[in-house]
Amino acid sequence: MLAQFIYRLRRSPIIPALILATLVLSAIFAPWVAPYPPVKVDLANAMLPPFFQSGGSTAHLLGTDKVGRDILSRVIYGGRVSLLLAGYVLLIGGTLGTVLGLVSGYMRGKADAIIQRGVEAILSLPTIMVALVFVFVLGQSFISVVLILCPFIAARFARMVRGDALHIRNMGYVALARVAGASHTRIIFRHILPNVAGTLIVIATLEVGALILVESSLSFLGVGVPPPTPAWGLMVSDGREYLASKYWLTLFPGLAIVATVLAVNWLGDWLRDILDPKRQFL
Amino acid sequence: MVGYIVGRMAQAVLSILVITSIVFMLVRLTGDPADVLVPDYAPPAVQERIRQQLGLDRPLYEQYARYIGGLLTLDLGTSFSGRPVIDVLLEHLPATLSLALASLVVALGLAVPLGILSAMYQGSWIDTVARAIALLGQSIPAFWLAMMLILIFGVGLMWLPVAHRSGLSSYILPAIAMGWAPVAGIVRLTRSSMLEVMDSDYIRMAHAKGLPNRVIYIKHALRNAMIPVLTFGGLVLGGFLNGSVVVENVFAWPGVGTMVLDGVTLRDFPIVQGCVIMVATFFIIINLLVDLLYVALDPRIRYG
Repeated sequence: MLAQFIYRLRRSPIIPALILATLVLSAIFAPWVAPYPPVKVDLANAMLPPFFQSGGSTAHLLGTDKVGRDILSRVIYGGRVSLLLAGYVLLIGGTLGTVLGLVSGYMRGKADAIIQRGVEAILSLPTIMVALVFVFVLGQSFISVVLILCPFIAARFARMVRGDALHIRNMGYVALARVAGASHTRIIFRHILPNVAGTLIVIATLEVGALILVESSLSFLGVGVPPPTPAWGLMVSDGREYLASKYWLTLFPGLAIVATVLAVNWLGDWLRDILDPKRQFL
Repeated sequence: MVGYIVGRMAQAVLSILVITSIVFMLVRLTGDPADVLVPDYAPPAVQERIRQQLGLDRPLYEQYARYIGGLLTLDLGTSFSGRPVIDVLLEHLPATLSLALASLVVALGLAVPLGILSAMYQGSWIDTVARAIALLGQSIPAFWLAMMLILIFGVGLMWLPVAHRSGLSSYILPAIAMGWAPVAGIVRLTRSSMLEVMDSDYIRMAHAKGLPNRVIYIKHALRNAMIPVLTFGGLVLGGFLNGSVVVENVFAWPGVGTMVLDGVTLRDFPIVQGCVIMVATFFIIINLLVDLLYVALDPRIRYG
């Protein structure tokens, strides 16, 4: 009975899909869903505990921070920051990496050698260390975090897509297209790109989780999205000095990160099993 | 074989050179470090003297040439506090390296048995638990896990110290916080590697000889299945050096991560430069050793 239930759960992504849908919808409709504006200061109601504890009230379900900002509202708006950032990085870095990977795998030769050396160089850099330095160059802002993370994502996409492209370029239909006189550009985008789509979806999903973790780590270190933007990592960091007495300042934003990343990774695992049965975990 | 090793080493040296150059340029783009050291109201002459002392008035290429020359003799420059960077680094390095090793012990100690069990009992509840742990491991940010560990074991139960490096017990929480993340990858790798080995002829032979399962798993399968896991362990160690910034920050650990973060805040660029180069170099050298170890461990792999 239980085993069957677990088996079913593993084969359908209902739970992560629900978590993710809730997050995305509440992030999009944050102004309507969140009970308060995320930066609204209310010193009279500072440091209220969550509603289930004595002293807490249902007016602030998850409590308030040191200047009386509503934790729940900030967690909801924090989803916007994380998801938007991951979206931008995937769009820019992912596109760049895909094109580089396609060219690298299809053209081979010199172009491949140059691109791959570049990819290796980027992948051998310690991400957080480099990001620390970059943020200081570009200044602390949403856009600089996006720009720092793009090359790393591009490198990962390029490596994965290249592997697929190398394999696909030897397929009969690619040879036929070449015989039929199709240009390299046409072959790359019409014949190879659609066939790496599965890989792209899987990497994109799995990378969203990694991106949110890195972004929140940077925010936590104080070099990510600048305050008073309600970023989850920043909220956890704000709660540090009150950890012993006001646990809710760190607990809830942290749970939001875990729930989001867990849902995305779960979905990614599921997608990988479906789209690429050879790499299955179970 | 010799050709492979030489080529691989040349590649590593090139990577290190590229990284040192990138870091050099980046750090200099962050603004004039003299502005941070000297208050605005200081007379221009004082500002000028400090620039001269630090060599910041020289042309960029001259600063670079001196810098690379220095690197070759392990001279990483002088911190703005007046101490040689290499001294500061050597002072902070043991804390970071020992924590990284402790984290590796935690990660392998947790992941390898779990991976073996889930390979031995495919499809059972152990397998499900292993997968759940793998998913969780990838999803919890180290800084938050660290704080929750502090909250539970430090503040709540008062079992373990929550900050600074003192005795062995001070290693436990930071090592768990850092070692948790790669558990997922190691479990997966151990499991798939075990399954692959279990499927080979010599294991079938061992079964045919009538050896007990325990002997087959531990003596025959495990040894060969561990090769990819060991090499992955090397990469994980490199990852710990990178991730040390976050965990060291939470536990006020006196390591290289804390040092680089302080360097960034104070705009002490010789420090930042030295740290990032050191971490990147370690990372590259570990990668190199892992590749060479792989060749040494598995006689079937030969590079021409």
